[in-house]
Amino acid sequence: MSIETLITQLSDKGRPVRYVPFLRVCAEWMAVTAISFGVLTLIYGLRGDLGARLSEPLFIAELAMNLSLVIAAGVTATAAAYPDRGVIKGWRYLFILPLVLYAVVFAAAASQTPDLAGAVFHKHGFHCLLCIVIFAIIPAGWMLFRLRRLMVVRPMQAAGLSLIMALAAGGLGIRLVDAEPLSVGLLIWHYLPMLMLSGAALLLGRKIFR
Amino acid sequence: MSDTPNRTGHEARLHPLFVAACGGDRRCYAALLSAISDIAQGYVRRKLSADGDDVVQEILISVHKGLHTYDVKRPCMPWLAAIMHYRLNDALRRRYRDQRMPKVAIEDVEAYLSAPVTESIDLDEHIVAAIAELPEGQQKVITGMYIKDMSVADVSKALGMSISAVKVTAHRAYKRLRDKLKEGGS
Repeated sequence: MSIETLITQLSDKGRPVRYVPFLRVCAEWMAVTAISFGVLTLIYGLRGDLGARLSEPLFIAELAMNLSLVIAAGVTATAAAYPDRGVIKGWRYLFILPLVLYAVVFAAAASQTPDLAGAVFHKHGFHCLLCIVIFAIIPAGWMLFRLRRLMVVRPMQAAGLSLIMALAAGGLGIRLVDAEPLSVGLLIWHYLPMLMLSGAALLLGRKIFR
Repeated sequence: MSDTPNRTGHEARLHPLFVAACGGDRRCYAALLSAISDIAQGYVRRKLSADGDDVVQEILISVHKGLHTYDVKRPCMPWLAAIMHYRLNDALRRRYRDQRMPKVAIEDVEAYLSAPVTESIDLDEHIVAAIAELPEGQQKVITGMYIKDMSVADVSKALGMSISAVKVTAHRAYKRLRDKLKEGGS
């Protein structure tokens, strides 16, 4: 088909196009994440020692960093589906700061853990992994569905960050419902496999957002 | 103070077209796509140093599909440039992948192959005779399409005819061949 024929065909399909505001898409996924989060928290029930843990500054910091990572990764993933925003470096690296702060909080938690080796090899059940995935699956699925309908120019970034966003939401969820006392054990046994999944999502991004 | 940014060059030319196209004006949309195709052709040729009509077409399709992600209050060139860059990178990735696994034409390796595994089928002499009785133009079209196995586009190029003229000629030739073969059979 010649370029002229294609232009004729496309212009024949021309119709009024309404801009889908960036902030609206961000608000939509935040709402979806919050609703699924709320429902799942109700189903699982909050952890028994939540009141006591909320008095610990490190626990509060961990939750805050987790929440900021959810928001920053989600906003950055959405920006990747808007061609003129996806190429702005400020947007692309927005999630780095909360990720670094999150790592600092984990490092602080590790330094305060008396038996670090014991914590690292602390045994966890399969239900922990399942819990994170259940919390993550609705935000991740919704994000992929929504971004596919936009114009993703950075597919690897969009896929990877969507998954990081969803997994951070999963991480936040498990901290609220599972009475795991140590952040470090959680990092090794839960987040590491999840980050590996994010790596797989990076590679799959081009196929998902073709 | 005006909210409208100072637009120059492509931006000044394309932005009003983008605004009109988003409003549903088909003529402006056609003009916009045409202008984008000119810009994209230059960009792709510079980067690929080859004819990249397929890449230009992909860029136009992406613009069409992603128009709802363009905010008319913002400059249009960064939006367009990001799409062109992405589609070009996609094309380059495909090209490098093909270079790693080069495609080899069967003709290049025929000498190394053993005896043919399928029998070549000669055309029925009745059909050959019927084709020989066709007018010269129809003969050329039928020979090109069915004996030399060329596409309609290739035949039209080789004979200097339009694609629709080739199709019409082929259709008439079939009708005449059918009639001749029926006569011969009865």
